[in-house]
Amino acid sequence: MIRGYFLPTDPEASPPYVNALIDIPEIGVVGLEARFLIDTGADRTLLGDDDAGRMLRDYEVDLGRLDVGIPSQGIRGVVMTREVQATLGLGDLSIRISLDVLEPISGRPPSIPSLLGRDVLSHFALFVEERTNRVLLLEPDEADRLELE
Amino acid sequence: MLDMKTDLKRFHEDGQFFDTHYNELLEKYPERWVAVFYKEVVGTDTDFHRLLDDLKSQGFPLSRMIIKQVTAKKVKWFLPVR
Repeated sequence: MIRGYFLPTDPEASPPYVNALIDIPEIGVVGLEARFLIDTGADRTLLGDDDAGRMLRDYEVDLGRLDVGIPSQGIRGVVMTREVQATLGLGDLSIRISLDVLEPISGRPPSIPSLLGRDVLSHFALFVEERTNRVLLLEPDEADRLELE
Repeated sequence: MLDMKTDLKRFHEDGQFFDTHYNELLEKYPERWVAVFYKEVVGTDTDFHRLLDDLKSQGFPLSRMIIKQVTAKKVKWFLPVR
């Protein structure tokens, strides 16, 4: 079971987050720590531009070396992404994924948090209950033990 | 050698520190980017990229830090839709 948490940014509806470690061997990134917003509306997991900015500076990564990803479309327009093969460490679990990295734009402050999308969430049963302050990602055997019908 | 599990716990605690002290941080550093490491504010700037450069020049491990903007503005994020 992976335990997440609610960020008290909005008293009426706190968003659920989970922390993870990211390894991207092809560019020498090991143990990048990041907070991911649990986003069932996102089809893929995304490294937001502030986390990407930290990564670029700390590991001196040249984003130009990475494969261009599919641009993402949102209400603020189209943003460019790069795509890398990454390992996401969640608790004791490691999951290999294609990670979209949002390109930070020079001179513009970052604005998008990292998102944990359905490509990762599909490995788990997601339990989110603000009343009891629980954000849980249950593994299949743990979900099977629940008597829910 | 860095124990990543222990460090992820420290990262989580830094995040909690940031969240629980958010209103104080907002009062002290309005509309600035704030870096927290081991439950201490170790840098602030109005410019995110300049803060990163400053922290890196001081030897801070950016990949292990909480760096977020404290703002009174309501922020709406968009979903990545292909």
